[in-house]
Amino acid sequence: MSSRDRAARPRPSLRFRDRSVFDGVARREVGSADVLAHSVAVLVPSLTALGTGLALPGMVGPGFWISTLLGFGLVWLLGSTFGEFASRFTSAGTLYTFVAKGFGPLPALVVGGALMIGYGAIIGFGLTDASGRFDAAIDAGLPDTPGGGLRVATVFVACVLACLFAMRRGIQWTSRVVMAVEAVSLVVLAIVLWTWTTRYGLPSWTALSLDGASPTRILLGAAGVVTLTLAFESSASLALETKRPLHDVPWALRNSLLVAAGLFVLANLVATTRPADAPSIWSWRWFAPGQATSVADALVLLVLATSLLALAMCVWSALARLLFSLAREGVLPSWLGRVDGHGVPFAAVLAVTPLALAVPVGAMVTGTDIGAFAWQLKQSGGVVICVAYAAAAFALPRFLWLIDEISWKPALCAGAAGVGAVAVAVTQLVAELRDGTWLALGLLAAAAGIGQLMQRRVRSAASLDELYVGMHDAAVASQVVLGPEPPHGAHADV
Amino acid sequence: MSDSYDFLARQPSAVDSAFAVLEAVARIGPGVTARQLVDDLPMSRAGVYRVLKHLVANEYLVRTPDLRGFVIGERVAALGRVRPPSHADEGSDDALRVLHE
Repeated sequence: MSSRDRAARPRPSLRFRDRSVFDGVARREVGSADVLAHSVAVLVPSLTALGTGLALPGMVGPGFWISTLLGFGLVWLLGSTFGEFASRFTSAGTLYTFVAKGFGPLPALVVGGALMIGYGAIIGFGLTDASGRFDAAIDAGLPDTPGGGLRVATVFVACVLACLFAMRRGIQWTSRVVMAVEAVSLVVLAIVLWTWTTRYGLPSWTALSLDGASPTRILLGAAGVVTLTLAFESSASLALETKRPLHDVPWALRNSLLVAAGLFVLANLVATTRPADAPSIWSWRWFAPGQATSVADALVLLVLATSLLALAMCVWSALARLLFSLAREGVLPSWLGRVDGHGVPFAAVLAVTPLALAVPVGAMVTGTDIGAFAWQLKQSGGVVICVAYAAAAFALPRFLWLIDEISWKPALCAGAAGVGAVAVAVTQLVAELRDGTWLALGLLAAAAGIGQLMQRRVRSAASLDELYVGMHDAAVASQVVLGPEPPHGAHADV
Repeated sequence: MSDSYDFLARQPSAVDSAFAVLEAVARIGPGVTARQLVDDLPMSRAGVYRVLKHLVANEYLVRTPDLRGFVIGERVAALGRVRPPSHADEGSDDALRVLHE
């Protein structure tokens, strides 16, 4: 921007409100550790390490570690890009607000629709997979217990109620529970990896050889790694309730990725010592491979199930806060913007419940296995979230230009992150279409449709002053010092 | 977790930089932009941005509602509000007076 253009720009606005638009939400409830716990919980590092982490060397072959580096490298770029937004303003709308700041209302509303669908798919997957693993834990530890669909359904309902109970208690209670769950899961992961190392030996440097590596499989592996991290940015939705949001949210985004990536790499390396004729990793027997019953593996499954429940609850919290934000902006009905006595947007939390139930209902309607349906919905929802990632990444340079803080480094990172996110979305979409699945396309269309519906509501608003798409939590008059005689035109709104 | 001290506080020059930015914002006036601060201060662009980021994160500076400018935060004003002496302080003041006499 030239100095002439800069001079032509209006002075920054000094119109500070007396009250925040998000008044009523519990403030300064959680610290950096809590936000980190939320972000780690969404990444479910123990689950991904003990699943895809151990399976990746076999799936990709030589060069698997490049897949891991590329995948987490791309997510790191995305995290850095989102951190640029989160270090400049506080909001509960995550990617929706980011896109609004860069590209304006309509793209933001489409991204809002994408998040509703993508986050909803992850919540459904988390609850369903948690129920499945609780059920598998019972089979592994107490094989004589009567099972069947009724047991799984009961566990599913119990999971939903547990999430609602925890979220009703408040964000501080929720984040401490999540922190405890993840701490236990990391200990369990360490024990499993240690057991494998003592059983199969230490990995050697030959595991890093690139002889026979396939670039296609490496890139597909990288795309797969990215899909394991979906919704990691959802911890940004806690910004309104965080003590130092402009520091804590970017910090949590970066460090949660470091934790997840480090554990994933460890699992990759440990898996390279596993004999080719060992039982499948997906048999969920880490301590007693090939055994039908194993109390130790039942405990591992129990811990992983709890981790999945934490994942569902964290993304549920994030989606509720998105709906809350949209309601306070006037885009969604105002009752979604209510908070309870704990400062929790519980009306929005309850409104998300039908999405959580969409997976079992959808499985029943389509006549498919509930676990398979949940997995497919998560994968297809991942395409939608990747599109939202790309939109937010490409929005950053424009946003920085608008506030006259553009520089080459964040713009370059954002551009690379956006291109990478598009590549992952296209890869996943093509793979689905080749399999004859149109779910991802359908979900993308649904996201666009939701965005259009919200856009119509925005346009039909009685007064433009009532609406502000992509609102952030701007400072209020009591938080600033304007001086004894504010300059002309600067005043606090009454 | 000592997050408050992760900004190079071990280096005195970093503290000077932070004060320089605060004083520049106070001198130029509310709504000063990052670009104006870069032009005004004898610091690198990256240095000004780094300091701004830290001061905003700790609420010593606050962004304007349109995010384009900066204003001194209430936290800075709170530094200037001296706590009135308590009765415990008055007790120690009496002891000091006796010693002097």
